[in-house]
Amino acid sequence: MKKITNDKYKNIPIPSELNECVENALDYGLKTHNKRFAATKKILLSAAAFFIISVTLINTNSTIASALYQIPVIGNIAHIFTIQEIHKEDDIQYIDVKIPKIENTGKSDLEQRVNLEISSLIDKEIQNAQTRAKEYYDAFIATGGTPEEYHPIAVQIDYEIKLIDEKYVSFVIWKNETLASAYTTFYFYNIDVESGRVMTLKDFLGPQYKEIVSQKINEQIADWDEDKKMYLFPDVDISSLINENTKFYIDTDFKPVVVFEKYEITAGAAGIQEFKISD
Amino acid sequence: MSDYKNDRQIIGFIRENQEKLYRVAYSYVKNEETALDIVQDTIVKVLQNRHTLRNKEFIKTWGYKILINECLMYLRKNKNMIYFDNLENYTQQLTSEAPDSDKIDLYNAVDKLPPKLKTVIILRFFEQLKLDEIASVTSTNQNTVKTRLYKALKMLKLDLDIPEDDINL
Repeated sequence: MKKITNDKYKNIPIPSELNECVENALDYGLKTHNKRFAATKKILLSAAAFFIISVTLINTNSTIASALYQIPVIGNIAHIFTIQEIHKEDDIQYIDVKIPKIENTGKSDLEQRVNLEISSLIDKEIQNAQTRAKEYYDAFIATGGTPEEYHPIAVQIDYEIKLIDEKYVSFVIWKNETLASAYTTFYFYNIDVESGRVMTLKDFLGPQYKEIVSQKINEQIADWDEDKKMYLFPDVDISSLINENTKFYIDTDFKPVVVFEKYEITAGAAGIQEFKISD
Repeated sequence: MSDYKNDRQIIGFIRENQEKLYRVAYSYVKNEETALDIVQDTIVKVLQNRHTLRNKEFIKTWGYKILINECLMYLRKNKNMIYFDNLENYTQQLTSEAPDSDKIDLYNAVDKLPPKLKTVIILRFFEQLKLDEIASVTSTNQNTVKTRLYKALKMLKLDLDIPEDDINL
């Protein structure tokens, strides 16, 4: 009978950078961990209920108040603020959601449309996440796992404002799901306040947008250093990825920034790729 | 238990096991940069989601679970992955490698296995986890783990008998 050895495995060389990488990751992980989670969790656990939904209206939230405070009040400027926070926790999953709302654009149709879309998008994401978590949990139990061994799936939805101005509003809603197939998903919203339209790259750059954007991106990729180029997938055709649904936001220089998610054009190690399309 | 003590326990686990985490990642992706990146991502995810880990005793299986999910996600999305259809070529190579040796090293062989089978081989033979720990990492039960283990060895054309939980390594 032959024996299985793990000699080769044990001899995998450990790179000298490992320790530094680990310490950096520890640092980053500890810093980005949201203290709010821990606090909320304690309160919820003490309630000891199986299903708890807490909904907080944010008008009282001091961080949002201070965020609003920083927005200069010049005429008719749009606001984006958290209308609702949902926190839900049970044995199966751990959900933490912030729902943004846009207002004061002077275009109530537009606001209604966008806000409705946002809330239905988030509802759908939560529902899908719940279904996935339930299926996962059931499969876990059905195959002999015990509820004690199960680690709830964490779902987090939040948003980030990229630009807010009299002319444009640009923000991204992101969803992060732990232990599921997809991790972070982004939804970008770029609104032309004057026309009341949700903008695409075409609206921004004109009918030649495909050529413009692919050329700019290819130029920037050509400028990457060799190490970074290694991560690029060999058969990437940028122009085939540029269309009216291409993800982008508008930065504070009023330039569109095209975003490719992890694994879209590069190996995951290279992370999310952003390309600013400037003149 | 205080949050602080919990955190120290998790950080301690990561520091102590960083080489293990790296080796597991490396055995999936076989690339230094990528493996480091996966270890970093895993640590950040562990810390960012540590509030969901209710019982800190499970840090080991939970940590492995996140690590393996990261590795599998990388393999799934990486277009340069080695495909399973090379298996036949490989097993010939494997058996011709050292016909007289009484030892078999599965290090290269795992590349040819589909993800679920790869995971059990790595955890069982490389990391020497117990079957119940593997079950917990992969969210399955021990019987499924055993089935996958046999299937993997069969695919690699290794006729090995696997005793319950004390395989001679």
